Amino acid sequence: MSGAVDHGPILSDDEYQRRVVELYSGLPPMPSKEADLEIRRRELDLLIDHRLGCRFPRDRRDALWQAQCHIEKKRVRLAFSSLTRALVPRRFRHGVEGLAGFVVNEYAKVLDPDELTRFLDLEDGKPPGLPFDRPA
Amino acid sequence: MGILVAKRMPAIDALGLADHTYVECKGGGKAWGCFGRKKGGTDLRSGMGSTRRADAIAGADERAGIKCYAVNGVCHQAANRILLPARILVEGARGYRLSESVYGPYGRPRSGRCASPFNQHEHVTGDLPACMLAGMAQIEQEFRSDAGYLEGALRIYARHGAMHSEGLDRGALVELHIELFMHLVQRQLGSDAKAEGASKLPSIREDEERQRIGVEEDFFEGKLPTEDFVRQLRSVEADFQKRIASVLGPDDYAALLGTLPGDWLALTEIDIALGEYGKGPLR
Repeated sequence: MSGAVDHGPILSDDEYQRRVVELYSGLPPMPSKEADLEIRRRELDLLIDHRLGCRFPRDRRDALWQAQCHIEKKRVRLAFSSLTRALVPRRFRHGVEGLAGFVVNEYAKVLDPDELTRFLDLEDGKPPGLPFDRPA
Repeated sequence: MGILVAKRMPAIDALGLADHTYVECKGGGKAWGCFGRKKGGTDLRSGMGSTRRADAIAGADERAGIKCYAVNGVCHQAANRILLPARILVEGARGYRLSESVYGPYGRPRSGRCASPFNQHEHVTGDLPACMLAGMAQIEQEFRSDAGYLEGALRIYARHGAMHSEGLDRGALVELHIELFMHLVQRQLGSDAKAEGASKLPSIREDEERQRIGVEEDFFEGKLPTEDFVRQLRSVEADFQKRIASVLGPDDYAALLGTLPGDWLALTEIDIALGEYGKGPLR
């Protein structure tokens, strides 16, 4: 836990999980584009309350939202490259690796190093990663 | 109602450091792989929920509707979907904060050809037979373990004469609480309870108990207003946690107190104390 981050009380794990489940419960399997946008924005506010603090400033929340919109565009581009996954798996993996680095860079434009470490649960000196596993 | 368990293990091929996560019902009667292995992981968290509904959400491929891996979500989002009936997430798995920041807790449903609807199967209830049988066997085993712990605690109370209405004097009270605490240490740490650091725990508990009794006596003798009483108790509690953290490793600390070193808990609530005793000092 980083001691340098202080934006007021944080949501406990239990409270955060309760609110996330509440946010998603009863949604249609495929929400409309507008509803999807609204949910993502509320989801980000919960993430911030949980990881950084409930008094994290509004203007910086807006900046994190902009960062997340950039990340979302990158993710959608990755969806197109998934078309070629079967043919060129290495290129797809490279795309996913790039996405992880892109996420860190985007959030680093808004968060200081302590905040970033806490927000993404980064380990000192080790690159953040997404898991790749396969059935036994 | 069954129990769903979020499991984690280091991913075979993590891009960076990340855990693979999957879900099983308590007792291991049924597991859902979430794009990867479904055996050999350790428990991350668990909660009560319909295992039949979890199975319906998981679907035959056990991917919970996440169609394109790393586009709509990864194993974390598939596991979260399956865990919905238990209302828990795989928070705590390595790499989860990164994946949640990209895909959200339940994955991104809208993605053109990768569309991944999240069907919550709200009307499915009940449990899978495989989960009920295996779960009951494990719950029974744990119940026996809890019962053994409680029996031991009751024996300690009886040995110290603490079941009688007459109060214990300060020395006897301190001894009782040290013995109860070490009984807990033995249960939570097992063989680690014999490690060098753990040998310092009785004296840490003794100091805490003596300080606590001192604060309580001052308060009940009318020497402290309620806010000071709570402030001093919190200071004793924080010091107790910090001293334990100084002699135990982080894993043993978490196993004993259920939190991480640095997350110092305050057990005494000012609002409750003010409601109970008023502003004080007591007369």
